[in-house]
Amino acid sequence: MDKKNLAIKWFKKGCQYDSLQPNSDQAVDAYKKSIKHDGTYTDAYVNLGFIYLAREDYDKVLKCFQKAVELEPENFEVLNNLGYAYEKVERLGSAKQMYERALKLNPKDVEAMINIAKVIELEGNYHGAIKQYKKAIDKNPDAVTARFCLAVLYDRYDMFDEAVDEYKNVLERDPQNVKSLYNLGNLLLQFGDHQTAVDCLNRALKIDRENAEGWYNLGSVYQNMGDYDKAIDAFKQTLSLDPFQEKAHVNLAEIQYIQYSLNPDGFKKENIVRKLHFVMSMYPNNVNAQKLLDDLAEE
Amino acid sequence: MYYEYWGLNKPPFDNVPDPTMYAECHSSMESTIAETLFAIEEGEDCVAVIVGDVGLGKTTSIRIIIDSLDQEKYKIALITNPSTTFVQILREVIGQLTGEQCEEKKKVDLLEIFNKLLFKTVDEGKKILIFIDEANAISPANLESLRLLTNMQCDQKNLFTMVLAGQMELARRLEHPNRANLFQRIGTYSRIDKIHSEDLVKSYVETRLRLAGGTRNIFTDDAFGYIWMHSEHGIPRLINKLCKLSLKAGETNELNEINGEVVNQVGERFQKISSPCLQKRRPRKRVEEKSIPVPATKVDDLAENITVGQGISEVEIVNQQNNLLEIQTPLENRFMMKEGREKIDIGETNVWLEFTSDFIEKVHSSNEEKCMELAGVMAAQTLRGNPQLTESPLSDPVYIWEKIKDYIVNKISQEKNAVV
Repeated sequence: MDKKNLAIKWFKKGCQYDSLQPNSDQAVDAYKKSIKHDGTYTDAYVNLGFIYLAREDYDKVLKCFQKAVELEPENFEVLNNLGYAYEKVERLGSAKQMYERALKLNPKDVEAMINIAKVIELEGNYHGAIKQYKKAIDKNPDAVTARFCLAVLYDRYDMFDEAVDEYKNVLERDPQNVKSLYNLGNLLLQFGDHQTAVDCLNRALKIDRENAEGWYNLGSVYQNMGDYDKAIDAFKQTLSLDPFQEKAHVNLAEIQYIQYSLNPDGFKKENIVRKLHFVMSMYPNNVNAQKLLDDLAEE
Repeated sequence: MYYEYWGLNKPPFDNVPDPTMYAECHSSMESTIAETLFAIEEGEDCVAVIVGDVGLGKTTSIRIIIDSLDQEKYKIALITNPSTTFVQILREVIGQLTGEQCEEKKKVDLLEIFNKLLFKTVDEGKKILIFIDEANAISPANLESLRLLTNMQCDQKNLFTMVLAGQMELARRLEHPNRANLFQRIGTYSRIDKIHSEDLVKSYVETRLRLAGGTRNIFTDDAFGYIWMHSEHGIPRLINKLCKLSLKAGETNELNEINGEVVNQVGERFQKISSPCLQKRRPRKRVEEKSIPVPATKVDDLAENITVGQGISEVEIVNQQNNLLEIQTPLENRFMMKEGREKIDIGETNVWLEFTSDFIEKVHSSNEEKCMELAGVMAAQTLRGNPQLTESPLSDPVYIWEKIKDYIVNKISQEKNAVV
């Protein structure tokens, strides 16, 4: 069998190993053998690079993706992949150069545009990143990812109105976009628009019931609204998914304390104290739990 | 827009870099920017340092400095996470300055390239600036290498300026006697602090409102105490966020002013919120689907057998545990409680408690209240280390924690009684 065919055979074997047991040593060996038989077999370098990526062995990822770029310098996808690898090792300038090369080869590549925006964002250049995301949106107004990234950027810089508008834009195009629903719900909670926040969070949790953080945020809204029964239910859901969610434990204790203060006969003070001691054992620096404990001790 | 409701020309509390919105009362940030710009434009020292805690405006300051510079006069490299090797940092710097990939592997070659680049840039009538954000993440070895970089200056002229910005850890590192050589090369050393007092916070808020075109007091006096409290005593980013949300709440509720109650409500709300969910990013598979063969359905299809279950075997775990026990030093004989592991049953699950020599020492030197705390913390650690205990959605972690704690408390009581 000639070398090219042997390389293909080992490459296929690598794919088989990889699909049966992802990122296994057997797959790595098979791809390496493929490369040994044909040093110009780009697919093998790419797949090997992906395994190293999953293993977070970034030096090896770089070597594989660099080789792929060397073999196929005009392929915008390998350039994007190499850019991503550079990003992982914090070489942002190199990452940007790769994405820009990819974009030059394929000016319609919205993903490369988003990647460039992401790098600019990581460099702390807020205005530059906004401009770049908007360019990506102009290129493809229905590109949900670009709109979502822009919304998150606004959100992180506390540009609330702009963030809300962008999350709404995402949801217009993709009503099931769970992350947008969560983030929008959280923003609305900060505005004090409790009812709409509840609607958003409930919509998100209908799609994504296993999200502890989502249940926690819903509980917080109910707590702010003074609807303690619903808040307790939501916090309990949080704790059933994540038994060590610090804030949910504290908020539950807070609600119990309020209920106890309103009706001392209806609630056991010991239960609240017990819960707070638990929180302090888990998280000794929790100021809120300590304050509640001090308040209870003073009574 | 909400700011128009309050009679303002523009948003007064946006957390984005805007040189027109400096408030003099955050004097440490303002002087940091001025001093660093001076070090770059006029100074003959090659290192400028900016230190400050999280959220005080280091990155914003860097951005404002970069944006304020005449871009025709400088070649700029910005490193945002320097916790990598010196070779990687240098490659990245060279790559950003030249706009071309640099894959040189040897440090000595990279230094040579950098040196040539310095002189070439000077010949072009420009100066190189290297900004390193999060410089507290630089390893001590890399800090020393950066010092060597600063040797590359000619006698008559400063060829480049390096600006290091980082958290207080950077200050501690630079001030260490071992770094005296680098410390001597620092031209400006600026520290960004919180806004120091409630009065200055008031002045900061009112200045920003005025800069945005405000002509009257919007926040009542009692509001500033709450702004001070919820901003963790003067963190500008949090002050901006609180004030902005309060103004928006005021617009929604058609208020004429913002009082303490409004600010307090806003502050309590945003403390409860988690950070936004982010977009998960991943590279694209380059290989076309058609080139990936259909997966084998049987292991026999493959040329070699695949070992299933690559985790550490139980035997290995036991061996490791035995090794751990072997290296522990026995405690003095005066203690009844023995260091080592003890098995207890929680429901249907066996849990190992680890009584370390440190724990036993602490038990003997602590009073009853402190012992209860120790038991609580140990129970919490045990609970965390045994996720199977809280696997069921119906399990109550507080109840289980208390069970474990009771056992430890009992054990401690026995020990104390025995000693008595």
